[in-house]
Amino acid sequence: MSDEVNIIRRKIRRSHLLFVIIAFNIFAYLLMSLKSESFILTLLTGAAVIVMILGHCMLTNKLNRDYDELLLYCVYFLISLSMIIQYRLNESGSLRQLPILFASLAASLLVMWFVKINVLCTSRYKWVAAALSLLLIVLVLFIGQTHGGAKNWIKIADMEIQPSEISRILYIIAIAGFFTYDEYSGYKNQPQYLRATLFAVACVAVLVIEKDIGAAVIFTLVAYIMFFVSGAKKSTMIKWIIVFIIAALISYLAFKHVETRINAWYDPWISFENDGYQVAQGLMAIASGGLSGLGLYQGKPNMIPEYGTDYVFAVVCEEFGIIVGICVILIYFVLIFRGIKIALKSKSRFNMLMCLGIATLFAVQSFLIIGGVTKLIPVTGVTLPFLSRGGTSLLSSLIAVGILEGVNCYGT
Amino acid sequence: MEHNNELSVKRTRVVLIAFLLAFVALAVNLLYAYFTYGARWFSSPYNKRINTAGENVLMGNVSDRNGEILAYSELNDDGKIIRRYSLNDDIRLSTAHIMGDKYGMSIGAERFFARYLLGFEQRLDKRVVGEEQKRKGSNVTLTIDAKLSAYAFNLLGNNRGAAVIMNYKTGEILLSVSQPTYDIALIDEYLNNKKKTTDGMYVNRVTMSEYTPGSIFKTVTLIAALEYIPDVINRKFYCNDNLIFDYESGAYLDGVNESNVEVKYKTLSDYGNNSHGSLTLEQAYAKSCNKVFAKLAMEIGSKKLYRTAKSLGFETDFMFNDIIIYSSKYEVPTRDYDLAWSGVGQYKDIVTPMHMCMLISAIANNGVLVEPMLLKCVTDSNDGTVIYTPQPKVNNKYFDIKSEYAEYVKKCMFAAVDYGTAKGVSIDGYKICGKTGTAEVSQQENIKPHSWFTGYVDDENNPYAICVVIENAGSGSSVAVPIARKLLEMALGVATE
Ligand SMILES: [Zn+2]
Repeated sequence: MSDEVNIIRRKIRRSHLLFVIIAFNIFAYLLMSLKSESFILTLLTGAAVIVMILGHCMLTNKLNRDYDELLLYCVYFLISLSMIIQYRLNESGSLRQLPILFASLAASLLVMWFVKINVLCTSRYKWVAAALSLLLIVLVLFIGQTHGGAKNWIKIADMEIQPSEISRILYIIAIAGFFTYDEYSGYKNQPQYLRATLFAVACVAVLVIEKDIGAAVIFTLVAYIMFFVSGAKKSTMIKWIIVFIIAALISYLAFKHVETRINAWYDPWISFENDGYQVAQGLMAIASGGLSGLGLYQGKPNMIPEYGTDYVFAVVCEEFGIIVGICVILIYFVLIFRGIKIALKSKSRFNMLMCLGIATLFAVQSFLIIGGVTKLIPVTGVTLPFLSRGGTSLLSSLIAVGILEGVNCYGT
Repeated sequence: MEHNNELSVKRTRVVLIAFLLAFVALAVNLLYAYFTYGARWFSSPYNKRINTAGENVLMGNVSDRNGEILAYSELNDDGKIIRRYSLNDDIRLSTAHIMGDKYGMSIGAERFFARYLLGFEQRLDKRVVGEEQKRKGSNVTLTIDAKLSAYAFNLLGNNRGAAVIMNYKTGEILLSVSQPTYDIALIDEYLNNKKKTTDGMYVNRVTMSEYTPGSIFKTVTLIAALEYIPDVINRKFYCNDNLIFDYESGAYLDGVNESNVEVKYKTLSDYGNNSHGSLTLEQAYAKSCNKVFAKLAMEIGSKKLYRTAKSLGFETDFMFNDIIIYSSKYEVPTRDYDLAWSGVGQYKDIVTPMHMCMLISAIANNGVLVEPMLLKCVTDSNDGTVIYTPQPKVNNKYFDIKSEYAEYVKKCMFAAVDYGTAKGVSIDGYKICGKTGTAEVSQQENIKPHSWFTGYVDDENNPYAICVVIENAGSGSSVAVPIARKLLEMALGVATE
């Protein structure tokens, strides 16, 4: 009983964060309505986003009372920021994003329920997950289309889908399954390192063949950290690092676009006319925005290639400022921190590894692309979870949040 | 396997800490990069935002240190914003490189300070509220003296070359002219081929031209000698016969002179085939003796000479907030002959005039460089209140000169003006110190050497460092020295006209 009271107290305490997010939305859409072509349409879009967020929050509350508010609020803020930026960049394009947002939010609720009734997200279905995961990325090999040097999306009836985004979640479920030895898994007292290794190597190999280096790096790092946490020997972990270094050297020598990206990172201004163009444009956008940003509609974000997807962080810095950019970095960290906290308090080994894998997925993705845009590391073509335009990315990220929230309530 | 799960929990914490560090690195890197490179990224010639903003915002005025307006914006009858420049031809032409044109053919103040001129630094509410057309950028005042620039421009006349004066106590650049120049007001005509261009007219020779330094490099060799040769100050030197080197190997043939040499040979001589006789180190510098400094360079050795050159800012691209200076170069020679010539500023030695002016500034200021700056202040264009005034900034990153060496070099520079090659620069009532240079740039007889003067005024109230180079004009003392004297007289306010 006192538990119940504590939960309610905590929710009331944290609910003001939700008000801040709603206020942020109202303010931004009002501002945009003054500048945009259609006053009414802008306000309606804003209203739709707010209703969806509130609806999702209420249904989550209904589905599991003790959900993790901070995690969810971080996601709501990022989604709001994303919708505002997409609307400002391309009004009609962002309207198409609305039903995708709706579907993704619904999917996250559905997954929460899956966790509750113990289907899909259990070690029992690891082979199904593994097969589906591999199938999705192999599919691209045959019917995929090339974008920016990497073959990573397919087109189905006017919709552009990036299968590797969905595959990531299944990949994590599969590997967590291989490392689990409970009543569902059928393994006795032993994580199945060999099977997991073979599976991960197969996935990464296919991605490398597709030249999707960004996804290959993500799959590799996620698997590596899951191996580490599952208790693999230290000597094995060191051996793998040596393998990565060799693989990195080979890919540097073998792939032209890996080499050009490293050169563009080292000095984007020398090769401004071609390879360094994107990096340099991003840096100029960040520098133009300054600490406080130029303000909505005051910048020129469409000068940056890939402004809606990979380079959305540069757009945030240009129009909202570096301070907001740092807040976004902080929010990603809070999101990851909550994910790891859920992993730490989950009872079963499978849930722990799965949640850790998801937190790692968010961490690796956001680090790679924010680091790339800000010239800390070479650019890898990776989407920024929740912020980048792109339905598949949003869907898979929200499914991942659904798993985390589900485990938080039922798996701990 | 409860133990295994404990390990997993422990390792999860390790992962969490690793993520924390990675994200802290992201944030710190973003701030660090912005504060270190932000201004440069913004003013990059590739940043099209500056050009498009110039069409929508009334850019602020640029004026010189005395309030003379160098550039301003106005609306023409169609409501289009036009950038206008000083109507005084001499001022407009002499400040072209300092101002820089709108297309970035040459990059100057208009681009370095675009952030202020376009009002990017103004408060958000000032920028967002109100119609774009009525927005006004801030006004920028430069440290440049426009009258002095016009005077220098006329002194240089049709010669190719550069002249720069900076205040070595504050870093303010008073003068920076480069010839040949171009008319910023006609930049569109040049680019449409409606107006004839001169070869190299967009190049700012002060910061970008790579010149052979000749004898002004002896300052570097002198500092290296002070550093690496014990008691060099009290040594006696003799300058009589030319130095002889083996023609093939370039090896120095010690004790051999032109009357008893038995192999094919090359020589190193003084300018005009002089012989200076018995000399102290100070006298050798003052009289610009090649033989003594060539021998010193060989005694120091190429590696050590390189190390000293590097500690004096060679091999460095200077990236200051207000100015970017190309690097001077000292290529390490392997043969005695090349080493000897490199010690007197020939061989492959290369310098930019601004770097030489900074070197002299640092020496004059007891070994400490005050960063050169071009921005005096930024003012609000509506009410004239000062928004930003940069403070003089000591820079210890590029120059490493011990103060006792600086003291000695100053003495030598004074000697050069007192009784040496730079005699012609002296001005009544002021203590001027300096060094001339005559840089051979061609083997052909009819191509004259570059004429150099670098020096400073030793005066608390007028701490000016100067560097003048006139291309293919003759010896340092015959051409650069009189020009430098006139420029200093003008800067000191004692010009007789
Ligand atoms: Zn001599």
